[in-house]
Amino acid sequence: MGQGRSSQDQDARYIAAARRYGAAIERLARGYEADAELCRDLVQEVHAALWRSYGYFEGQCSERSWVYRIAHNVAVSHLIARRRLKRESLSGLDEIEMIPACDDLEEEAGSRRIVARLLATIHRLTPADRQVMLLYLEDLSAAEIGDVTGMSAGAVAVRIHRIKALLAQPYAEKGDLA
Amino acid sequence: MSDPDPIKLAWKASNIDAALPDMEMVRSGADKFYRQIRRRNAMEYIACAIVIVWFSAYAWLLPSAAARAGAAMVAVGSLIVAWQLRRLASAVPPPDRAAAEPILVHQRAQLARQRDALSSVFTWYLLPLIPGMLVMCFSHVLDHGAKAWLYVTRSDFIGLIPFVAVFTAVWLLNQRAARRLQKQIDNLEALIGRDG
Repeated sequence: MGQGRSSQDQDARYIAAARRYGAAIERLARGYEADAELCRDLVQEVHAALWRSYGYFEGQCSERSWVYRIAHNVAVSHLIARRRLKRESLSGLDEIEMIPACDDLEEEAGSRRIVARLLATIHRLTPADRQVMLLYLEDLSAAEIGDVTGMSAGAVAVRIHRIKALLAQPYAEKGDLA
Repeated sequence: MSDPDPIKLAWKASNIDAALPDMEMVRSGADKFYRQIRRRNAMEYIACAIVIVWFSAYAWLLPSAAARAGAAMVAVGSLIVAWQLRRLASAVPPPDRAAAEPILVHQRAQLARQRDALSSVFTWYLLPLIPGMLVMCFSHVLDHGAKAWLYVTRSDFIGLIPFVAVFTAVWLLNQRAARRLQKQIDNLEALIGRDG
């Protein structure tokens, strides 16, 4: 009986989290896996891990941090399992090329093209920089990114600075042209 | 215009609604994880059982008493290796279990466990097999009892060369892999707390 209640509680807590963070989990999965079918598998893996985790989540950290930690841990394990961690094909934020400039920012804002460009950049990042980039795009603060990743405040600050510069490049170039 | 918020908005707007996964699918996904663990464990047990049966048969059938003892020692050594493999594998928590730790701390711990396993491969993987292999190689000499050393020839040592070469190659490859992991650990440590 107690087991039944516990299981129901696990289901309920998982469903609440899945409703709240489902879209973010799917965006995160796209940041780790370019292949649509494998991306769907990854989303399912994350949900399965999230459901399992609610068997023992007791507020060890904020729920938001908990969900993002699980999602990133599963995604990194997925990358390793797929042997996609080829050192030569990934770059750090300090060496990655800029996102290509947009011809028409107004038209492009909110469109799929800007997200496609973002994803193309994210897929070339090393796992640690990718984590910061994805969490930054999800609007987590520097302190929250540090809490989720374990990265020092200084390391997070440097990466956010680089991300801001990277994201601002198309706008800066547009301004230069004007 | 340098505010990157439009990009954040575009990112978040790219996927606002996500369908809630079917609970049965979620549970079966969790079951799949445990099935994979059970299958991996079963394969380890089967491999271990094959080696033990093989060398136990030697221990039973070989004419030389020393060779039989050596085969039995290899079987016991294989058991030790299997136990160590299982101990090392079970020390790695699944991703959901690791959520109590920040991501990079968890990754660092995983890499450190792999590095330790690789750098200590001699003691847990090679050493348990060496006594039995040596006894089997020198069984025809050991059968002579107290004066066994009188019967050791140069060819006995030459016969050891393939084993020494294989064991040395295994040890060197593992040490190289451990050094590579150490570089990754150093990078993660720098991110976790030593510099920006």
